[in-house]
Amino acid sequence: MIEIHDHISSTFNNELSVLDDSLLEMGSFLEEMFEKTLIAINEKDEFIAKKVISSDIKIDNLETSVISQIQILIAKRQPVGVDLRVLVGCTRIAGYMERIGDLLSSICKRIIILVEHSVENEKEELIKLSTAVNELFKISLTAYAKKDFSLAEKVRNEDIDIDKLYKKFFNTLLEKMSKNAKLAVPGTHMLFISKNFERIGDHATNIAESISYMASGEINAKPRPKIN
Amino acid sequence: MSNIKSKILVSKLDVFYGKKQAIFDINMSINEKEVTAFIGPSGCGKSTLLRCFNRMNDLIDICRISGSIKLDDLNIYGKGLDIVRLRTRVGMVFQKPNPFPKSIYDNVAYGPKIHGMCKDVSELDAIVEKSLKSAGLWDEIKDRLNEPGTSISGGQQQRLCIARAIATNPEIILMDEPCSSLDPIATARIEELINELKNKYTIVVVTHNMHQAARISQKTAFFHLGKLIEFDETDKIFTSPSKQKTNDYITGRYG
Repeated sequence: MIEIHDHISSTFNNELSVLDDSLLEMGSFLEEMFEKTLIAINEKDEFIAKKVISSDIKIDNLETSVISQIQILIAKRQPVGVDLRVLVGCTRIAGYMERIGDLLSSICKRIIILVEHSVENEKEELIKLSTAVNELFKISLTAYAKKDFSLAEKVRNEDIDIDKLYKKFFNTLLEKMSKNAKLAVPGTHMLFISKNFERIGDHATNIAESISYMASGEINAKPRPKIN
Repeated sequence: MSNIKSKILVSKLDVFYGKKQAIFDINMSINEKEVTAFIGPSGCGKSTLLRCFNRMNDLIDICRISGSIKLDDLNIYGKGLDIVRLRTRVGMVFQKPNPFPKSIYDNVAYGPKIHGMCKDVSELDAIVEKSLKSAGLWDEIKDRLNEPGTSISGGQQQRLCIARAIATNPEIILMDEPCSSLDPIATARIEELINELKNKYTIVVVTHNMHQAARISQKTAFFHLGKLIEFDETDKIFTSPSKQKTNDYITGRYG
């Protein structure tokens, strides 16, 4: 557990709380975007997909606010030790969250295209992948909210399951596409969607590694478990 | 990094003021031609330890020391040690600039003169010029050498004291809060000077300014209640210290 609110200076404690709240707001807004993305895939809901796309700007603005707060804190407080690591970690986490927002938005653009295609059979595996990524992302947010080092380690170890699901989905769909020309267009979009989910899984792991860095100071994380 | 050599070796050092123990069992090795910073809250023993290195604590009657401090192979608390000779090897700069009530020239020339380090006036002139140049002060005051040392600014006075300290050609320079009475610009000049001086001298700095310690030193020692809590590379101490107490102090969690 990383404690950030026990400085002698209550003003510094408050400034760190505001920063923490901004990152948590970013996280909970992304959670909402993620849930909507899953509904959009499941229900071929173009309206919800468009909502996700238009809300990405809010994530961008929150990231700008977080970076601006960190910049002021560095200038004013000249942090060292765990405070320095927390600010470096938060800078990184804000960047990963912003990328997750972009990826969700990009997925939703492809979902809109998929609305006019019939891909019900292929969709099942994609939903499995996206649900698993969502779970991993939620754990990484909880790890951040609680500043919980051990939960962050759990995310690192589970990313391999996402990679397995992605690989399985990719290979199965590729095989189907090679046999069915009608699948070429929707299949390609689905491949990109699956890749984007896999990237979100990587960013969830990056967030977890940033939490581990805040706690331990180790810049070089251990190699992640990988599939052959 | 293999050519790093130990200059000061402190072993099992205890220091008492009367019955009160100020320093507890300090063991540390200070590297040659590096800057080592001592940090810690007031009363933690950092200045007491610094003053052991040139036996300044001998001036305090009730001060008692056990353990050993070696400067190279010389035990500086050994029997028959020549303290005057020791203090030519270990110069000191204090918190408040304290030039002698003499001219700028005489402030720097005083040490070499009393230690008989020069044969004639031209040699003494050369030492004064070289010391003032090393202290980054020559260009500013070369035309004012006969003016009182107290007539220049605080920052210049502190650099004059550094010039005075290096005029006797010491191996070690001890600095006890050398910038605490200076403005940020004068502080930056002294810090720049310390960085240059470390190429020739071993420097130990006591400072309350942790960011100064982070900027100027290669190694940092954190003391608390007379004990050495952590001694490591400065970069490590200020990014990821090993001890919770160090982290709590440097991040302002207790003082």
